[in-house]
Amino acid sequence: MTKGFQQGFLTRLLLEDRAGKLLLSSVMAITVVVVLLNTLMPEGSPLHVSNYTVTLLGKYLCYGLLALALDLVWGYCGILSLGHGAFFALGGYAMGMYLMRQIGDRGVYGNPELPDFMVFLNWQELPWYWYGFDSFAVALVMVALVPGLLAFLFGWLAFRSRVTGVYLSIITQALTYALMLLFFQNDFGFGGNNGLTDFKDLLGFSLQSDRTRVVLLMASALALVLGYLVCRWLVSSRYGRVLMAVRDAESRVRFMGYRVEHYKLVAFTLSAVLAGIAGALYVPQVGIINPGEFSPINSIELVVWVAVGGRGTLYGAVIGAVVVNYGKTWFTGVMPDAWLFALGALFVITTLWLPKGLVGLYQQIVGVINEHRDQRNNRKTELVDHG
Amino acid sequence: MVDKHIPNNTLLYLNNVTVSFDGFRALNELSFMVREKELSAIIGPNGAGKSTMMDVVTGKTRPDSGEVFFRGNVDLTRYDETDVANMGIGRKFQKPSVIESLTVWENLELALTGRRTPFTAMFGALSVKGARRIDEVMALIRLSDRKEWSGASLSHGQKQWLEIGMLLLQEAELLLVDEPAAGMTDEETFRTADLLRDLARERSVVVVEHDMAFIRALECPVVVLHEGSVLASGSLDHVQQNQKVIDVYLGR
Repeated sequence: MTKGFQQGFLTRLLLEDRAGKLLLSSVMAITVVVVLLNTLMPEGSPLHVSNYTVTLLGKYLCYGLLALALDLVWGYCGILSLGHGAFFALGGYAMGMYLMRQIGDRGVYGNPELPDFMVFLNWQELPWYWYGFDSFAVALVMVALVPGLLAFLFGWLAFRSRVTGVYLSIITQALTYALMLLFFQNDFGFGGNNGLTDFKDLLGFSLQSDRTRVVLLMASALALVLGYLVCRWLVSSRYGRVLMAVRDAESRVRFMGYRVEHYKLVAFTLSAVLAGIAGALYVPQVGIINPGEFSPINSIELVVWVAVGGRGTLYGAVIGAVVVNYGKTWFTGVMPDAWLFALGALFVITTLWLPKGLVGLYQQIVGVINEHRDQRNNRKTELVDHG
Repeated sequence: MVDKHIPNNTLLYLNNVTVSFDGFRALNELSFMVREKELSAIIGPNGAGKSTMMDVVTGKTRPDSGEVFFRGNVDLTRYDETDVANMGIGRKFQKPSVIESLTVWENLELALTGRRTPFTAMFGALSVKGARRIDEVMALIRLSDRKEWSGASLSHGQKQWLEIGMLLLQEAELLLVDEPAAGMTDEETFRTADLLRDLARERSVVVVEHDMAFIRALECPVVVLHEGSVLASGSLDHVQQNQKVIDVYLGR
């Protein structure tokens, strides 16, 4: 296909999505500026952006992708998943396993065959489910396959039995909780409590090096942009309109002859894959993955991000993820103990006064301003008419 | 395996259908049939089993006993709502249930026959023929100038019409229409009756309704349900003179 076609496709896709265009341009612009200021400016310069900021931004972008994934199922299909953190964590673990294998004999025990935690547990050989993770390609496939397959199986059972609403939310929460307990087990073979950490390098590039961090940031930005485009394309297709119809009047859609459970299953699986990719990009940037990532509170925080940003818009989810996490970074620096209270308050405020989130608030304000302007213009016209 | 006792031109056939909820018999050995390209009306007081009957036919509720056949040999009790809809049975609910967040055009596009899998919904483009059909129906239900309006912004009567339009695009062979005239003005009510009579030339239409003026305007045979079975049937004048019908329903 020609470049012209691709541009045409993108233009059409974002034609009516001005906010999306703005968001994607900002993500790309901010990433480029941060990368340039980090690499070109000398460290003492006031214009220099620290490595810490580079990684922090990379983290936020991964959260943005995760929020996007949740918005696809919650905002467009009405599936309130309280366990989406599980798919993020599984993608993270798949990447973590690759990174563990890359350590080789540089571990504390210097065992070339086994990761440190297995040596510590006196294991003699690598469990079968670790096979293949020496290969980056296999790890990448697993990043998508494991969360996708779990979501598919879970969704197939839940949607076929027509579990919806609060009941579905509760079992998604149970799912992530069960996985957390499972991953805490040392015998399960994923490092138990401590998870996977002490990573050295990725594809031969040291994770500590500035350049790798910069590349990971750019990869996160790219993933977010591509993820956004895929989601936007989906929700603007007829498939997306069926999803919205399912959200608004599920049984009506059945009586129209649509297999509602198939529509939900496709959205849920795809969303889990996006969450897995976000997790896989997140882990090399933070340098650790442990069972805490499965904790139900993470999944609930994720729901708060999307609610605060404004669900059912895609861009709102990304904005919410960045804003809330920036708040979290700030809060945990100033008043670490107060963060959970602030999060709770935020959720209550959003639910009570901002049902459409920050995006809705902005639209409301713009609406009021336009109305005032129109009224003023009308008054002027009247004056002119009378004069 | 065509049942011998079903007459040839029968589209829908219910025989001795019983449905109970917690001991309450919503349908009590209900038997009746709908012929091809026939308009008929079902009346009956609240709780007579009208909605349950529709639930059974459309695959939402499984009967405890009895037979439900479509086109002579399709056993409807073995299928769910989606299958039944795709076989050609369309249902309009009492409460207008258009998709409020979608536009008039998008609602109709959703209902357009064919293309029901997620894959075709993602990649399949709307055919020229399909687009023309949507435009035709939009004109028929007099919403052409509301093409871009959201479902939520329509009046009650317009929603009812949009829903009828959606049923038309589903290309259903049998339409089950629950209280289409509810909330309509007199003029809209008569226009709706005209439309339904028109539709019945091409397909079977079963109307469930309370409004007697509307039933009269339909000029069709009537079935009176009471406590889950047929109390009387025939022309409206005929059933209105039936003493049992007067006692349980019309006389009130």
